[in-house]
Amino acid sequence: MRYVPTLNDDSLGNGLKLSATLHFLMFLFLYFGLPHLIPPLPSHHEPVPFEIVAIADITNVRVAENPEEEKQLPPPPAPEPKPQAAALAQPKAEEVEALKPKPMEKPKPPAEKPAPQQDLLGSVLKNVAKLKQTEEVKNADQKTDAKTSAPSTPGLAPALSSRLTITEEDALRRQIGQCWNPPIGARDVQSLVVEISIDVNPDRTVADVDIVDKGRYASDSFFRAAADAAVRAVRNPKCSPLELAPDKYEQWKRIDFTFDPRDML
Amino acid sequence: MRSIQGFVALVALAVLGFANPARAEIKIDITRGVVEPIPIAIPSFFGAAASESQYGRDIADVVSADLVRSGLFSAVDPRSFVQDANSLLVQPHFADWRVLNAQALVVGKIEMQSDGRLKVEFRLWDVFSEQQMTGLAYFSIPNNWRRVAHIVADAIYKRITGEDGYFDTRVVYIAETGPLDKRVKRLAIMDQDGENNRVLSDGRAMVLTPRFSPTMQQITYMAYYNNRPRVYLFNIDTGAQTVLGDFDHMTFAPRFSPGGNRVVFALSEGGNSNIYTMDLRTHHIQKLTSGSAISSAPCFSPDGQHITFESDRGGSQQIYVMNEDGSNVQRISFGEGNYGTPVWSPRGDLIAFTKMHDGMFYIGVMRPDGSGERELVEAWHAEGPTWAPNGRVLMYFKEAPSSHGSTPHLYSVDLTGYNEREIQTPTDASDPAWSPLLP
Repeated sequence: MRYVPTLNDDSLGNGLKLSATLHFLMFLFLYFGLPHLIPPLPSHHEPVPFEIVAIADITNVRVAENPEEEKQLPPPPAPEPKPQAAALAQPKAEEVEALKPKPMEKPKPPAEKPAPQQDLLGSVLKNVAKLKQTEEVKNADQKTDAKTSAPSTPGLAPALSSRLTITEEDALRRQIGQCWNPPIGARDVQSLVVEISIDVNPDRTVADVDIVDKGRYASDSFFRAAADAAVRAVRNPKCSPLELAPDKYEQWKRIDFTFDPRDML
Repeated sequence: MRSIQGFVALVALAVLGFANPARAEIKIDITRGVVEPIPIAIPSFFGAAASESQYGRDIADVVSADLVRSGLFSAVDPRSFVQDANSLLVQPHFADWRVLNAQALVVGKIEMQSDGRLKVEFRLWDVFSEQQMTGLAYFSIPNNWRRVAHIVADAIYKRITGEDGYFDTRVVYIAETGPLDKRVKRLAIMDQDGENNRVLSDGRAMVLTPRFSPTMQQITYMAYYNNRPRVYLFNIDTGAQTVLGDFDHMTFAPRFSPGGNRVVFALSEGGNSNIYTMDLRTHHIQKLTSGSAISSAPCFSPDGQHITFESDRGGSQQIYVMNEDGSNVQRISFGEGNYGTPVWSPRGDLIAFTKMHDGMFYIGVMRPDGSGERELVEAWHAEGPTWAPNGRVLMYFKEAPSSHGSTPHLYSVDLTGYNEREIQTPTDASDPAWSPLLP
């Protein structure tokens, strides 16, 4: 016997209900779902925090001023010429035993900030023939300088809020740059790139300085001079305490510096 | 089993990767600093007796003057010193010196020995690190105190800059006296700081272009005796003067080879001149250039392998470099104007020159391949650059026009182009030549 559905049949009523429900759901899906299959044009962004990075548009390099006239004593009466060999017995050099230094004292904070420096030229090496032209294009140079202070990349990625910002890194870079006086006239100065690591106290003073390439420090007098200049830069009381955000100690308790005079040549 | 090995390897990698707790989170590149003199404090060297303490004051003054003159140091004002010389010998109070902004501190002591010699002892301290950088003692006869001071200054300079010093050196130059139309030009010698001036020739013959031998005992120069310009050798110790070779023509622009055994010079033949060398032991003469051009002002490279010289063979006066046997001649100056008197730096990296352009004179430097040309000095008239033995400083003579005629004086300038200073001489002076470090 064949089954013939009737209007009063429960199974028919169930089917209709199911069908109506499904259609309703389909309708809902088409109405609300479809537009979302095509990504809507962005009307607004989540707020992204950003900052305007104050990269220095003035370099730290000061043009050397003309030295003051040196006051010299009038030449003494000409001494009697003597045979050099007799008069100038070669003085002999002897090493003097090193005195033991006292324990390190904490450097004091600077009494006053150094005045902002004027100036200046890309290279610190003077070329009188180019000086006139250079002044005309000084503004252009300063823009170029700004690009050279690109931020360094942090190593491991800590939480965004605890990382030093570009501004903070640049402030530190500028601060130490003002205390860094590299031996710029040395031969092959471009090869005198010094890496040092410093341990920083929570009060932002320098606790310890470590020169990375100790072998070269011991064997190369030019490198030793360059490394000493780098150490003096971070130890200089004028640059203490370091310009660092006090709440990010975990980030700056150890800092690696690379001192490379390439932008001064 | 394999998975356990893999796990172990992963753990090992992780341990290696994160084992270094000292790894810095921040890396800062510093590519721009300042160029300013290093503040150095040089108190009088301590002496117990009055005579010793007088030497102590004098030596500290000379050391300080040398270092300041280099342009790389500034002297902290002695009136601001807090710690006295005696207590410094025990231990410097570094905090006191930091307040004065001193970065380096020199502490010295003078002691007269029982044999009459002077003992001069000093220590160089790094004020920030509170470390001794160097400490040396010298013994010498008391009259020699000025030289000892220069040697101390050289040691400090070397330790802080990395370069050899140049304070224990002398300069020969031409002392000029008399009216401009009847100038007397005599050979003179002095310490590099202008002290101990001595005149070496009597003024009857005009002397030009003196040059030091690397061995220090000899000077070579051109002199006019009986109106014949010739190259001479002069022994500083004995005063003996000999003529270099016996040529029919004029010889000029002499210079020693780095070993001091040869002299390179120019010899005029008719309207042109060429470069020759002469071996001082064998008197063997070698002609290095030929042709109808004027080639002059030769100078050896410090390794003795090359010679730089000026020549107008290309139509205008320019600088050339050739091998020491005269082969492989290359022009290296290509800027505007005429270039002359090339002088190879003792450290080999640069050639100094005189340039004339647009009615002005320049003292400049370029690399031996002609690149990196920089003009350090511009003047109405400037000529005759000579290098300090460390290749860091140039001396030359310069004159400016004035109503009563111009008079030349000696000047020095740092390789960076800064710190130009006049060297005081008793008379007008030209043509300086810097000695090597005294032996």
